[in-house]
Amino acid sequence: MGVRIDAGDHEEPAHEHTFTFSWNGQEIRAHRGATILGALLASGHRVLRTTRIAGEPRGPLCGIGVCYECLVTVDGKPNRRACVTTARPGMVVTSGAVARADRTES
Amino acid sequence: MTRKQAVAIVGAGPAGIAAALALAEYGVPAILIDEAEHVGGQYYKHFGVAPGSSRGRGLDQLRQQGRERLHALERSKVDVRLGTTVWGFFEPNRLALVADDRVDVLEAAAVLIATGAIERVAAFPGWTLPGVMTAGAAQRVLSHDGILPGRRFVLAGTGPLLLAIATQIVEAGGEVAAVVDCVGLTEPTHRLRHAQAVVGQPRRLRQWADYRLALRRAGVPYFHNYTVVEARGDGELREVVIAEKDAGWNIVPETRQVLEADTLCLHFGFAASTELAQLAGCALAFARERGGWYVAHDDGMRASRPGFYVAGQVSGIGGADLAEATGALAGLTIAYDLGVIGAEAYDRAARPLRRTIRQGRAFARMLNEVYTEPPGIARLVEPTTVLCRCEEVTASQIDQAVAAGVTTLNGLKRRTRCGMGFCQGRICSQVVGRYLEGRYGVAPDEAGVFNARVPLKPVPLGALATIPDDAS
Repeated sequence: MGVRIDAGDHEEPAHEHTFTFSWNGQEIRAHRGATILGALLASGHRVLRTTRIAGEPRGPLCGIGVCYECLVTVDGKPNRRACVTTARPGMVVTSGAVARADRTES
Repeated sequence: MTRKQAVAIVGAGPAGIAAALALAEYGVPAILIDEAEHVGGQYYKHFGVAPGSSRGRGLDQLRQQGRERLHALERSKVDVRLGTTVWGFFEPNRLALVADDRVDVLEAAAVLIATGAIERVAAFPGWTLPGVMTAGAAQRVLSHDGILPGRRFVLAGTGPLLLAIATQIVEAGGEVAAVVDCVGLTEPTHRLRHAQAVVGQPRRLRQWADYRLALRRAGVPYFHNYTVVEARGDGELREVVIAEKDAGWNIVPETRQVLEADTLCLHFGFAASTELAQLAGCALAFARERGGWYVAHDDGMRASRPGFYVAGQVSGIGGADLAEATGALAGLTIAYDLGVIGAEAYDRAARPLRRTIRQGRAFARMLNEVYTEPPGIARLVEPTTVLCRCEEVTASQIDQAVAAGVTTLNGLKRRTRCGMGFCQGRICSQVVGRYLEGRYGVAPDEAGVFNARVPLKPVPLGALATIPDDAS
């Protein structure tokens, strides 16, 4: 779905700019400094979780860490915001059910 | 000086940076805190944009201005703490922070709240579908990550930012099926207000003209006085239904159009992020010309609680120039209140800032009053429409609570759980507030705001175990 914009300044070889992490078992390529959300959108993933009650799909809404719609599990830590979390090489990211905010543990 | 004597500035956007630079100029130690991993806030986020991906003259100017501020900040002695969230406040002036899953407590000589604003959204059938996001979210991934979050876009809501972001999308190679503004500039009163406000704002006029021209060249249809009615799709957004509306927000059926789109960007202006100020006991005020609820303050940016100051969007929604001026003034006032500068020097330095603030407020007043999210937008909501996204509370649940006599946001929260989720009511306070007003005629100051509570943002339990012993 998403499209990476060609910046047009390839001074370094591409592999020095990019790395991979895992999203629900699938390999995702990300650019250095990218948020998890940016990398997922660039790879066409915009459904990040399903809701606790109705089981509805949800994706990002605010993009600035306020709405908590883009919650994912990062290296076993649940309820991390994909939009404000920087992607790192080898990270294991999964979607998952979100607990009630007032009964959260992580 | 010790850490205890530093001024804490919460929010490293244009206002927070301006305040930090003002304090640095007078040698007052300042700690600039931001949740993001970069300084600049949402306004200066353009820095990450790939070279050449956005050629608007207006945007280039913003970027240049931002770069200068950031360089000045780097050269200063300001202690900048990024990736740091303020999640609590404890008497008399202690801020609870969390960074990297570790909690810290900061005792400050004074606290400046420059926590900014969030975009307003509106609820309508299908607005929870993946692919529906704020215009700012699209802009952020575009600027920060160099990613277009979709291929074919509809931008809907109101205000000049729709034009700015549509232009960015087009310049980045995206297709914009339509820009849909629910305000009609064909209305003479709106035109008059515009004319009055833009006098003396040549840079803004040039920016708008740039955007309009770029969009016209790209053949992007621009709908005035139209609104998004519904978002459709099976699991993800596929179609957006738009239609013209009359003054009472009745949809004109024969104008309905179904647009194919994978991304719908919403923007209905901004709402001030007042939670920390509320938690600290600073009084709020409500005024349409300030964009709704804001933190009450005097002409030196002092909040109602001694030792607390506000700047930027929390003091009233307005542009970055206004935010910077309020930030610089707040920094100056803090230096004065701490006894670092005398009354004469204070007055001399404050005068030009106050002038800029007056002009900025006049312009912001027009934007806030013309490009507002009108209560009538609640007419788009159907009984099954989710109003609180976190707790999945529907309009019909709110209707039942209202029928039982509950008409305040805090009352609805106790009865329906709306506002109790992860976002702590930051999104649904606007949506439910507008619904109460549009559907039931409950005025905003009657409905009130959700009480702020600790933690302001979810803190992992493991992090709480790291609280220093001497903090309690």
